[in-house]
Amino acid sequence: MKKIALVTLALASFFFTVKSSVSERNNTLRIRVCKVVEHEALNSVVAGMSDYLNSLKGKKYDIKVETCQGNMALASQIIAKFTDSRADVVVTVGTIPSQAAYKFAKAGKVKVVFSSVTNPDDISTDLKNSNVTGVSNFVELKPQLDLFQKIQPMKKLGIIYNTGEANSVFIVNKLKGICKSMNIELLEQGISKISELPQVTEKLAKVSDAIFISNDNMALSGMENIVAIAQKNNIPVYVSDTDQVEKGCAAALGPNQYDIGIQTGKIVQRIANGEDINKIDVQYPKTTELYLNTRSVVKFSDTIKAKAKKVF
Amino acid sequence: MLTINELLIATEIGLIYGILALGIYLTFRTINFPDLTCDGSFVTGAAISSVIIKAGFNPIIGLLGSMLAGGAAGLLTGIINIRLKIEDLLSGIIVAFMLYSINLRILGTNPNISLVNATTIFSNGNSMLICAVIVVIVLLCIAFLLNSDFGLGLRTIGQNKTFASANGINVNAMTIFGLALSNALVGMCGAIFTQYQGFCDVSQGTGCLVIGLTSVIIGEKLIPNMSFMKNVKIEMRNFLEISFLIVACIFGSIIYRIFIAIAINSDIFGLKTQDLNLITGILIIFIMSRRKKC
Repeated sequence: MKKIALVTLALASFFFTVKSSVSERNNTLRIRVCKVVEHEALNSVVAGMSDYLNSLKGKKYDIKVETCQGNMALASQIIAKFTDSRADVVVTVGTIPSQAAYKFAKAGKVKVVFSSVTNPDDISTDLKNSNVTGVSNFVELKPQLDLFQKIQPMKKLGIIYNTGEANSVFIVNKLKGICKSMNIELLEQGISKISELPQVTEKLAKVSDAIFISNDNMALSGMENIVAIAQKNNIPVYVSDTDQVEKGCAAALGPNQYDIGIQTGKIVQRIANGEDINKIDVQYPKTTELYLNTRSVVKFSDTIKAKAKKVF
Repeated sequence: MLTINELLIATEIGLIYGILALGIYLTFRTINFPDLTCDGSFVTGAAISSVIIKAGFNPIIGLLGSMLAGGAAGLLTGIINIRLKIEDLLSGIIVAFMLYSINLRILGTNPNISLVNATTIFSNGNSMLICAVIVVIVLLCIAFLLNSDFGLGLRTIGQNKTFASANGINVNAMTIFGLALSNALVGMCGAIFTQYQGFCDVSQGTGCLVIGLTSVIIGEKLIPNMSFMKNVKIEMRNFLEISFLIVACIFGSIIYRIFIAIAINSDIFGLKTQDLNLITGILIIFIMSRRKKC
């Protein structure tokens, strides 16, 4: 009996903390963020969005961030919490929380702005009138490959990706077609665990002219390892994520994650100003930046260097 | 800041995962086999049902398909263990390991399938009601099965294999059946959860075993003292006792989800989602230690 009383008391204390912050919310907007995992790139997105919103004058933004640890059930529970705490806008970073939030948005319970979702079709092929919009992190692959060709003519391009990540499989499928048209042989190497990375990289580095890593969370987590093995085999590593260049990758022509965050923040701002979320189209990164690293195995011509935003 | 709606969602997810807990109960408790296949068979069920639904079939057929697929996975674990004499823990791990590749194959080109515009069992009607109806049907089936002569045999092998075999029970066949049944339930749970969420991801099985086993253990702590049933007829008492045990799995699972909801809401104490496992763990230790003192 004592136990039941205790549990009831604990539960009750959670119910009654609700009202405290309601009084001063007139000019404050509740922005609730659900990230799929803790990850540098995703953290920059969130930082970009928060910095942008906080720099605005007028309305105040109350931003809270949660991580669903890649777990779908947890994502649902977190979104439910956001919905019930009357969040004005829920921002979902990554595919899994965006998919979990879709159901709530479609039912009209909350407005969802997604970010860093490579393929918005994974959420729904029809996002009209679903109270969902956002920013995809997909950038055209052709310009990236053209650039890599210019830096270093290559015949065989290796790519390492997690076969369990929808975003990566989407990219690899697109790459297949593009590589064929450019006469490059694409050597795909799927992994399912981070521990497979060293062996796989070693194997791939021996047979390819360069390694390309797109926005695959697992491969990005092991970036230092990939770079070290590639250096040893005297081949460059190209990435889509500019933040990775510092770690020793040769070059990246991609969106700045922080800027994607700002772009997301702008959508949130428009909704906060009363614009209808269903009239805002899904956006793609507006600009791409070129980052180069002179410490890698390739040499850059001056024309390419001139285009670079940052040279390490 | 736990709200009623959050509790409802926790309960819905708890009901669905209750079927997983029931599956785990059948292996870990009923036949006393530490089966680790479930992390894989959960996704197999989810994947099969998604593919069937995507192909335009009735979602109920999706559920049946997922049970068959899950059952096949359990069967495989059983055969590896019994016929090939590979250790019980290891055979489950190997099958779950292999299932990851198979699941990716089933899902085809994409490791993440969206079902948002497809017809699922939740398309028409209240999701809580649908979860409850499915859980009650499953509970009734399992209660009657465990209470039948066959079920008694199944329970006996978990208690004492030598005794069971001396009484003419085919221990090997029973173990394989128990594993298949358990994983059929796990597979179905995966399918229901996928349809509930509206998407299927190849990584969604991770941690199923811990969730299921924790639910079973929490459930066991909730079972009331059976002494009030002294005057009930023995056949009836047997039935009621086993019913209590399996209903407890469902309640254990719901309570586990409510713990998570509480943990998510603990930000008022300055905690973050990354502390979630710690908070949930402490809550579980709390409920489990309380009971002993009473």
